[in-house]
Amino acid sequence: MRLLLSLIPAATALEGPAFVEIGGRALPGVEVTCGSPRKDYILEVNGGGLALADFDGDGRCDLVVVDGSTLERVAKGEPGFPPRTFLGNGDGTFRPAGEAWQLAGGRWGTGTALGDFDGDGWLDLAITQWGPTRVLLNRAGKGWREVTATAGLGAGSWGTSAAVLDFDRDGKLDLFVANYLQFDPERVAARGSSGCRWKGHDVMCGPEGLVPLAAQLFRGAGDGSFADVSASAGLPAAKPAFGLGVMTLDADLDDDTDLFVANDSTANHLWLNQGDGTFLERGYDGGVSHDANGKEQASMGIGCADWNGDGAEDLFVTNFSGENNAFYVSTKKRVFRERSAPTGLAGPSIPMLGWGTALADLDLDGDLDVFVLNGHVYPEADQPGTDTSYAQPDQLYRNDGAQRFVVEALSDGRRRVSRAGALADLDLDGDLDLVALPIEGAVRVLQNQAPHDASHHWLTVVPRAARGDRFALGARVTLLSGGKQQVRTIRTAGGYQASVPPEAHFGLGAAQEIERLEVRFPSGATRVIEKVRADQRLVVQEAP
Amino acid sequence: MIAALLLALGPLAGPGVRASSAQAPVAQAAGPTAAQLDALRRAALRRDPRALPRAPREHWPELLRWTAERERWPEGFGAAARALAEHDPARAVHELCALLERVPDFPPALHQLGVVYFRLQRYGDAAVPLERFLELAPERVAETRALAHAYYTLGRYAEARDHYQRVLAAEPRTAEAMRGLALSHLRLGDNARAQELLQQLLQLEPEHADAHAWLAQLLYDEEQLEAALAEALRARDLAPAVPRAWFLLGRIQGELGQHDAARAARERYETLAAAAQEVRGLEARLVFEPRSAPLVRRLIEVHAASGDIPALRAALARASALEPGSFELACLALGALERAGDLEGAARAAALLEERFAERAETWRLLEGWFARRKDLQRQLQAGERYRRLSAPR
Repeated sequence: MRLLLSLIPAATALEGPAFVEIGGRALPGVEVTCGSPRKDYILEVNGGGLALADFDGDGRCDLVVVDGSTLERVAKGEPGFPPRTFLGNGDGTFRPAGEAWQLAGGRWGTGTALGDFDGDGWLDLAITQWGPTRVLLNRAGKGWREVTATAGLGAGSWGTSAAVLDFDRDGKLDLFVANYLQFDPERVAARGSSGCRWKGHDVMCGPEGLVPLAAQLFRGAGDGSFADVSASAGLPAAKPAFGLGVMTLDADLDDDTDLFVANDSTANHLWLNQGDGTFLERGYDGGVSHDANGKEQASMGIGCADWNGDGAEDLFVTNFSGENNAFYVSTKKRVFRERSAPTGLAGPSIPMLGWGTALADLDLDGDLDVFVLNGHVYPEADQPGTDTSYAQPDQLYRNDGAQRFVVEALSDGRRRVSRAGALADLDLDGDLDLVALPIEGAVRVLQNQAPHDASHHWLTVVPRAARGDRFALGARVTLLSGGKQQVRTIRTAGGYQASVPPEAHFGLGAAQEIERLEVRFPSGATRVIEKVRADQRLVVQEAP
Repeated sequence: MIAALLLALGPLAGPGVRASSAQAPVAQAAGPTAAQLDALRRAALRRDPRALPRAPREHWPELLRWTAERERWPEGFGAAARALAEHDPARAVHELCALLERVPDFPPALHQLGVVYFRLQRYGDAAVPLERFLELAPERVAETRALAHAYYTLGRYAEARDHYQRVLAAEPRTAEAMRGLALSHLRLGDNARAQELLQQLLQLEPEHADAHAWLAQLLYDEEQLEAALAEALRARDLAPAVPRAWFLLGRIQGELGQHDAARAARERYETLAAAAQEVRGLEARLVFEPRSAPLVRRLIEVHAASGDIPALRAALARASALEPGSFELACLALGALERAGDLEGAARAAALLEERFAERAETWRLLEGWFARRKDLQRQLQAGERYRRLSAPR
């Protein structure tokens, strides 16, 4: 395995690493916990979550870190470690937010979802847990107000990733929660006690053999409360699965928001919004449920963007070791074809177990790259014969501009056990930086080292809707530059237990000016701007 | 392999049907306990083949001469072969590693160890002894297809392609190497070369189901749906118990608007895929419990339900080695073979029951049903009569 991992080249000394770790000064002493390092139970292996967005309205990106707990705390009836809010300084570093942003510990935090739930123009937060999903309303940039008890999200089970969308286009934001499995520490066998083995080694049990949970859809009332509409929306039509990742997208280009769910060891789901309050599960027909061999994969994280400029968004899905990460490219018929191998994304991913990921232009050269945070679930992966390892290097798949990706180390090439990650421009220099969570230990802040010269321009578009959700989730931003079209959807879903700011980032390469920028708002209204200067953060307001 | 079952249970095999030594039941000599064997297997699987000693290069010619004299092969090789015959690959690893510690780099043991690791799906470990084998005996490259398979499975497609090419240069008509080379090209993005190689393979073996399935996949990816459909149908007809062809069929037919056929194909795929998943789980457990009759019986049930006749026959042979002369197994065999559609095998199982277990009432109850379904009225009546006579209170 060491040989395999060493095949991933470190960035050359000439170019330097794509990202540089600044966590030591950006977020000193901030650590996360997810059970015991021994990983005797499946509850201890998926890690925590994070949300990146401007919560206090100062134009700088802030951070919420969702922490887990330990089984000892659970046994004693103690709460989990509290989620923590950090306010951005605009230079890539953070400072702890004041008392008004402090939160009590929940049960066992996992992920986040982000949107203006109460329509007051401020971004609110949902936190998934092994336990009930929490709802935190933003008090006009002054702090959090927890409304979980009245939010109507139910008792909860084990939510992993969640996504905010306006599925019924009523202007009030809704919430989709992917659930994992029924876990009761009194009933699930511990590692070594029940013959749960992987490659000949005793490992924690699950997910196979445990009971998967159905996803849930909650319709927002626009005041921070929700109603469970899973049944009327048609979600029970799909068999429950081990849900881990969620992405919002318009897969069939019919101007409403669909959902893709990455499931662990079960077929992935593609929920197509029928426009009448219901969804149809079309993962198999759509070509995203399995790999090209017809095998269910153990999927975790999701990246989504229009890779080939055809106007339809494509999906990148991280998978278990021994499986390749899957790249599903949308076709003219609005179904997907797996293109992992011919694009170079398959082979280098096989020894890895991937989690947080995104399709984004990380080097500002005008095409989309991919980052993947890796790390195994089994500490036993370091035993002989596994063809993988517990700690693994994070990867950058750099687009070579010729429809292939070339793998390199994301930062220093060190092996770590990573989980969720999210991109945002933390230092306001126009490129996307990364916050990465380990399974346990120090939270990492990775500063993008993309060059800012004549060949590397950028544009960030921030749509602001006049009606309904001010942050315009679901808006479609199309940019024409140098005769090349790029499309982004405004979303906050970060793919795996993470949330990102509701804005569209474009790398432009050598283009100093965009010929045409079009923003299609969720209301259907469109705003077109000609000749936009590059290298700016452009707020596009919907006409009243 | 049904022959092995029949030989194990009774002398009813037809002419020309013989059990191989690998399939024959192996007597349990007094030896290690189950717990000791379990510990031995676990220890074997914790071994790292990279740590095995190397022979000095000056000893290699002698090792190669030794390889040619099979009767002089070192002790341990036979034990490994017996372990494999008993479906106990972990024990085979133990024996082969022990041999290679006594006789470093003994080529047959390196080769066998690589193959066993490959079967255990430990691909990185498989590559180590096979690379050493090739280093010692480069002229025997044709025997190292598994090395290319290992590279491929590890995602090292360029290395896989290069090694398949070496294998094919030595042995041009090796179907599995040709298939592997085609898939390596496919993975490297050279669809045209992959298609060409798959066509060549089908000239060599027109009934290679997997080649048809991959051709279907390739054509489907290129949006040639009608041509893809023809290949997928051919793959399904040749290997109806393999899920992949059904998976492709469902997708292709769906995109062609053949919705009823697509739905049926998908349902069949889901049934077979669920069975395949259970089989993988059972086989993983059998690595540690190779003599578990309940696990093998479950394997029989799953293969029977999915209609995978070759796999069912293999499982029956394995069960018969574990439970020679078992009446319950003979009954299970009749039902499983008939359910899977293997009427020839079922007929032999029925004959076996009649011959070996004629004194049991249950035999005749089963045979009455069997003959009824075969529409053999006379024998049905005879069996029914025997059943009633034997089951009547005395």
